Amino acid sequence: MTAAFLLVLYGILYLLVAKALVFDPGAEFGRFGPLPSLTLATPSPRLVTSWTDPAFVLYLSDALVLAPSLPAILTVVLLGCLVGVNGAMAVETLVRRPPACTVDGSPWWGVAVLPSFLASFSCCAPTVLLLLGAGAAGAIISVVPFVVPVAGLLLAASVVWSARRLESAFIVAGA
Amino acid sequence: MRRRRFLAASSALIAAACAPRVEPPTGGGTSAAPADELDQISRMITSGGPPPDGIPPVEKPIYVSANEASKRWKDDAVVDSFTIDGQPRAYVRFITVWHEIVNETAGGEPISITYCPLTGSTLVFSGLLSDGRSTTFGTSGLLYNSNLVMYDRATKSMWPQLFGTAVRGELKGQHLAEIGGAVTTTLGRWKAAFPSGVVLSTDTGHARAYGTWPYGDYETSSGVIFPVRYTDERFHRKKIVVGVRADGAALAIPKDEFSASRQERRITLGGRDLVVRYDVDLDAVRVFERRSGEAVSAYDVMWFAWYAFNPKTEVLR
Repeated sequence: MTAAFLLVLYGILYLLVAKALVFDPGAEFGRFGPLPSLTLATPSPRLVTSWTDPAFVLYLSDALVLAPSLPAILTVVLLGCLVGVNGAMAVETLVRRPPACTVDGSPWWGVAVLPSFLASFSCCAPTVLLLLGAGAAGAIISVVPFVVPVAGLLLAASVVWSARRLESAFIVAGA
Repeated sequence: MRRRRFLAASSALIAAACAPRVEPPTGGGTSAAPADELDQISRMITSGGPPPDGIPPVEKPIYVSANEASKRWKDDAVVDSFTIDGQPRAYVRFITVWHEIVNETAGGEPISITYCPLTGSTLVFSGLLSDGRSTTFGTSGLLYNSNLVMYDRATKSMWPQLFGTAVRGELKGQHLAEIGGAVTTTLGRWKAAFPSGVVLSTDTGHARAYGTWPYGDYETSSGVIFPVRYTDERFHRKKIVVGVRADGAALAIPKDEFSASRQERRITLGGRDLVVRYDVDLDAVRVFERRSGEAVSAYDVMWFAWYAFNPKTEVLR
C-alpha cells in the first residue's frame, strides 16, 4: 500500500515538474472540443527516445491535460517503483525494529530521486532551470543524460542497503 | 564507511558529467562580416536541451477561418500577424511556442515565420539563399543569448534568429533577408482588422498540449535561463521593446511608452528615413519607409535580448 501510494505520488510530482501534467484553472480546454479528448502521437522510432515528443495528449477537463513522453512514462514507472519499494522498506524498518534498537531509518533515498526531476523536458526551458538561473543551465543540461540512470542506480542501491538493514532488524528482534 | 565511499564515488561521477562541453567553431564559405566576431558567437552557442528538431517546425501548416479559430482561442490570445500572398494570417503563440518555426511559401518562394519564446521575438525570413538555393529551416536545439538558433536544411549552417547571419557552417557570414510586415497583436484585434483572414490550426502533424504555456511566468519574471553576452539594466529584462535595424544601426522603441503617446515619429536610422507609428487597431508599434510606405522589419522583443544582440542600440525617447 505504501509502495503504491509513493509510486503514484512520485508520478504526479514528476509529471507536474516536467509539465507533462498541467493544471490550469483558466485554460478552458473545453473550447477545443468535447472532453475528455485524446490525441495519439504518430508512431515513429523517435518517440522512444524523445523527451520532448508526447506519446499522447489527453485533455481531461477544462483545466487538466496530460501529455507525457515515452521516456517520461518509463521514468515514472521504473523510478516510481524504486521509490515505492524504498519507502515501503523504510516504513517496515521503522515498524519492525525492536524498541531498544536504534536502527538508522533516515531516508537518504529521498534525495537520490531528486535529480530525476531534471531529466524531462517538455520544451527547452524546464521549470527547474528557471528557478536555478542562467549560471546553472549549461551545467545542468550537460548532466541531464545521466540523471535518470544515476537516480535509478542510487535508488536500487538504497533498496539493497535497506534490505540488509531490515534483515539486521529481524535478526536483532529474534535474538 | 562503505556508504561514505559509495556517496563519494557517485559525487565524482556527477561532477565529471558536469564538465562543460566546448564545441569548436566550424568555418567555410565567404564571409562579409568580421570572421572573428562570427567565431566568437559560434563559441558562445550553447545547448538549450532538445536535439535538432526536438522542437519540431510546422512543415505543412493548415489554416482555419477566423470564426473557427475563435471557438478555440480567446480574444486575448497573442498572435503574430503576417500577410502571405495577399491573405492575412495569424499565428497563435499558444501553438507556435511548441514549434518555433513555421515553414511556408509566399509567391512560390520559401519563407519561415520564426518565434523564439525565450526572447519574445517573431521574425520572418526568406528561404532564398544568396547563392540562389532555397531552403527551409529547423530548430537546432541550440541557443545564443537565449535566442533560437535555426539551421538551414540545405547546408546545416547555424543562424541565430536575432542575428540573421550564419555563424557556423558552409554559409557562415551570409545574411538572411528579413521580410517586414509581421505584427504582434491579439486575436480579437486581429479578427476585427482582418475578418477574412485565416489562423494557423492545431492540426500541425504533431501531438502537443496546445493551450498550455511551457515557460510558466518566464515572460514577466526578471530571470533569464541561459547566459547572455551583453547586459543593460536601464529597463526590466523582459520589457517589450520594438526593435528595428537599418544598415548596421539599431533602435529600440519602448512599446508601452510609445503606444501611450500615440505619436508618429520620423526618424533616420542607418541613413534610412523611417516613420514610427502606433497602430491603434492592432495595438502595435510599426515602422515604415518614409518614401515608399513599405513596412520594414520591426518586431517585439524582450529588452535583455535586444541589447544582448545590439549593445550599441539607441533608444527612442
